[in-house]
Amino acid sequence: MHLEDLACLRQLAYRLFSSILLYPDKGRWKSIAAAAAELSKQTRLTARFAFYPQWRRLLTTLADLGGHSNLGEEYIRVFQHSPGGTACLPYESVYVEPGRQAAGWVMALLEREYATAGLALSPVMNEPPDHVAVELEFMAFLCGQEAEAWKIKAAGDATRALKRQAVFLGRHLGLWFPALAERVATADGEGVYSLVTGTARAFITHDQALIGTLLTRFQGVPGLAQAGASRQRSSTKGPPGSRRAS
Amino acid sequence: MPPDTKAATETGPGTAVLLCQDLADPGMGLDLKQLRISLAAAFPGITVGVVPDLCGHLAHSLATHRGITRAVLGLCSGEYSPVELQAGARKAGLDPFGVEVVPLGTWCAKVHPKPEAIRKAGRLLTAAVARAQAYPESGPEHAKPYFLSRGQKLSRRSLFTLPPMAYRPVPSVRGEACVAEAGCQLCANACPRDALRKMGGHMALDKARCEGCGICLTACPRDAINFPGWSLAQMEAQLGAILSPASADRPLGLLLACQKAMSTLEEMAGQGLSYSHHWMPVAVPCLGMATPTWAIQALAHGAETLALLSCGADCPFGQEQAIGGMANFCRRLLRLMGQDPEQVRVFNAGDPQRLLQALQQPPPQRRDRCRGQLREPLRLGSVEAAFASMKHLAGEKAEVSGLVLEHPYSPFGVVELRSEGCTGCLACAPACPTGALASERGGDGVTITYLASSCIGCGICAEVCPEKEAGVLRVRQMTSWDALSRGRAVLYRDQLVTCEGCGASIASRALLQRLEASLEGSEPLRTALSRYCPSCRFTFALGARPSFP
Repeated sequence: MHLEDLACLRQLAYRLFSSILLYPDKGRWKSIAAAAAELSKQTRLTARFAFYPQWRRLLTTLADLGGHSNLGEEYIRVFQHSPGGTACLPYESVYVEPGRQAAGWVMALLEREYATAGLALSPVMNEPPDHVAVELEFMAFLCGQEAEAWKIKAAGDATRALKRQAVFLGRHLGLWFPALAERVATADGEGVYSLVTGTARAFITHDQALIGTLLTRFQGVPGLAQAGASRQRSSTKGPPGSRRAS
Repeated sequence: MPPDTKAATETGPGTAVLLCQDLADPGMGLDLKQLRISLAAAFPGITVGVVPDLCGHLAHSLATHRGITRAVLGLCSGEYSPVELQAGARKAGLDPFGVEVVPLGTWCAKVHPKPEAIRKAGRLLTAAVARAQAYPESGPEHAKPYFLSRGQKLSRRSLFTLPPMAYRPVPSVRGEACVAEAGCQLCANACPRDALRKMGGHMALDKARCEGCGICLTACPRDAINFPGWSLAQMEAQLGAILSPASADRPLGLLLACQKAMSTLEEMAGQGLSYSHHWMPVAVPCLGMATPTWAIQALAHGAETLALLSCGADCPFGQEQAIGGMANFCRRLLRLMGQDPEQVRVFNAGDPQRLLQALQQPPPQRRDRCRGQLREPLRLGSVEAAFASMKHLAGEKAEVSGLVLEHPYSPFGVVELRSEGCTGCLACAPACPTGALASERGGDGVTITYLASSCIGCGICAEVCPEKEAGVLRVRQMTSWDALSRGRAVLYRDQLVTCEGCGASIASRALLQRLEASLEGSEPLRTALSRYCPSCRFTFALGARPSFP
C-alpha cells in the first residue's frame, strides 16, 4: 500500500465523519449514503486496520439508511437538546473547558491553528471553529496535503503534514472526542449517532497511534527527522493571524 | 463454515478450535480425531474443525469462519504471520487479540512421543479455550500498530509504501478503579517505559511509549489496569486448566516464559531435540509481570516445579534483576517453610543447553507436600490468595510459625505504628490501596485497624502520614507468618474529644493535645480550638452566643 493511498483513505474517512456530524439535510445524507456504499466495496485497503470491524458496520448502516427521514430529529435529540438528559454538545470547548470560562480562548487557539495552515472559517459555516465537523474537516485537509506531498514524492513535506496532524490530534480532536463519543453512547444507545461517534473514536484513536508509528519509522532518515520542526514552532508560537501558505 | 470443518456439536456461534491438518502428517503424527473428541467432551458446545493448510492460509481460513466469537488455532509452529492472523480475524468479525494460538507442532508433535504429544496437545488446547473464553473485549485504545520491518534501514522506495503492519495489545486504565488521587503511583513506578502519568485524578497511559510488557497490570493492587490479551482473568483460566486435577500427566512442571524467550522452544523443535512432556509452557509478554504470588499459587495448585524462562540480559524491559529477585524470594521462602527451594528455578534464553538439560527430566515429585493440590480458584493478583497457598503448602508444619523473611521482593508488607507519635488523624487508612489499613471514627473513639494478609507493603500510608518525619508509620517489605495469620488487629485507638458547646466530636485526644502544645501562650485560640467544634466556633464568631465561656 502506498502512503499516498493511505493518506487519501484517511482524508476520505475524516471527510465522511465530518459530513455525518453536521445537521443532516436530505441532500447531504443521500450523498453520504452513496459514498458509504462506494467505500464499503473497498475492503482491500481497510481490512488491514484495527478499526475495520466498526468501519464496516458503519458503512453498511449508512448505505442502508439512504432515505431515513428521522435523522434530523435524532441529531437534535442527541447533539442539541436531550429532554431529561444531557445533550452531547459537539464542541471542543464544552469538554476541555467545562466551566465555559475560556471557551473563547479555545476557539481563538483553533482559529490560529487553521490560520497557520492558510485556512479561515467560511462565512457560510454556521458553526463555531470548535465544532466537531470543522475539526474533522481540518484533519481531512491536512491528510489531503499529505497525500499531495506523497504523490510528488516530497517526503519532507509529507512528514511535515503528518507532524501537524499529530499535533492537532494531540492538542484538540484526539483529546476531547473520546469524551463526546462516550456521552453519545450513553445518550443514544444503539442509535446511528452512537455508531458514528463510536466508529469515529476508534478511527481517531487508531490514527493517533498510526501517525506516531509512521513518524517513528521516519526517525533517522536524512532530511526527514527534523522536517517540520521550524514550521511547527511557527505554528504554535506565531502571533494569531500570521498566515503561511501551505 | 467450510465443508472440511466438522462441528463437534451444533450449538450455534461460540468458540471454535481450528487445527491445521498438517499436524496429522507423518512428520508430526498427531491424532486430530482423538483431539477433537477430547475437546468436545471437555467443552460441550464448541466447534472443532480440521482445516487443510491452516498455517499457510491463516487469513483466508479465519475469514471463512464468520459468526464465531472466540477462536483457538492449533498450528504447526509459533512462527506465523501476525498480519495475516489479525486481518483474517477482523474479516471474520473476531477480536484479533482474543484469538489464541497454540503451536502444537513445535510444543508437542515434534518434541514428544505420539501418545504423550496428543495428551499434552489436548491439555494445551483446553487451557487455550479456557483462556479465550475469559478474554475481555478490547477497545480502540488497546491496539498499538507496529511495523514488522522495524529496525531495517529504509530504502528510497520503501519510504513511500506502508510496510506490513500488525498490532500489539497495550493496557488502559479504568479510571473508576484507579486510586492515583489518593497518592498511589505503583503502576507508574513499575513501568519500565515511563508510560503512565497522572492525568485528571487517575493514571493515563501514553500509548506511544507503552510496549505492552504488562508489568503495570500486576503492580496495580486495585485491578484498575485493563489489558485485553493478557488479563489476569485469562491467565487464571489458562493456568487453572493446565493445573487442573484432571491432568493425567503428573508430575507437572510449569514453564513460564516471556514471549521473546519462547523462540527457544521453537529452536529446540527445529533441531529435533526432545524433552519431557511433563513440562507445560505458558507465555507472558514479559516475565517481569510475574510476581511471587503467581509462583506460590502455581505450586499450591499442583505444579511440582515452576521454571522461569527469561530473556536474561537481552530483556528489552531490563527485568533480569527483578526476575532474579522474585525467584530468590520464592526460594528463600520455600526453604524457610521446610520445602525444596528447587521448586522455583530460573533459566535464561541465552543458555538453551541448561534449559534443555532441565526439561529433559520430568519435574521431581515432591514428597514434602503435606496435602494434595489446592482446590480454590487461582487469584493471581491477590496476596490473600497467596497466603492461603502458603498455608496449604506448609500444611501443619509447626516450624512455619515464627517465619520471618524481609526481602525487597516480598509480596507482603508489615506496617508498624508507633502509638505515642500517632495523632489519630486517619489520613493513612483512606490512602491504603488494598484496604489493609482501615479506620473507624465513631462512638467515643477513633480506631485504626490493620490486616497484614492484605498488605502489599507499598508504603503509601507512610508517605501520606503527616508525622512522616517522626517515623510514626513504618512499612517493611516483609513476610511474617505470625502477622499474616493474625487477622485484622487494632493498631491504634484513642478517645474522641467532644465539643463542650454541642456535644459533637471534635478530634482525637492526641491530635488536640498536639494542637494545644503547639499553641502554648495563645490561650483564647487554644481553648477555642481544643474545646469547641468548628460549627460552634463559627456560631460564636457570628456573635449568636455572647462569648466563649
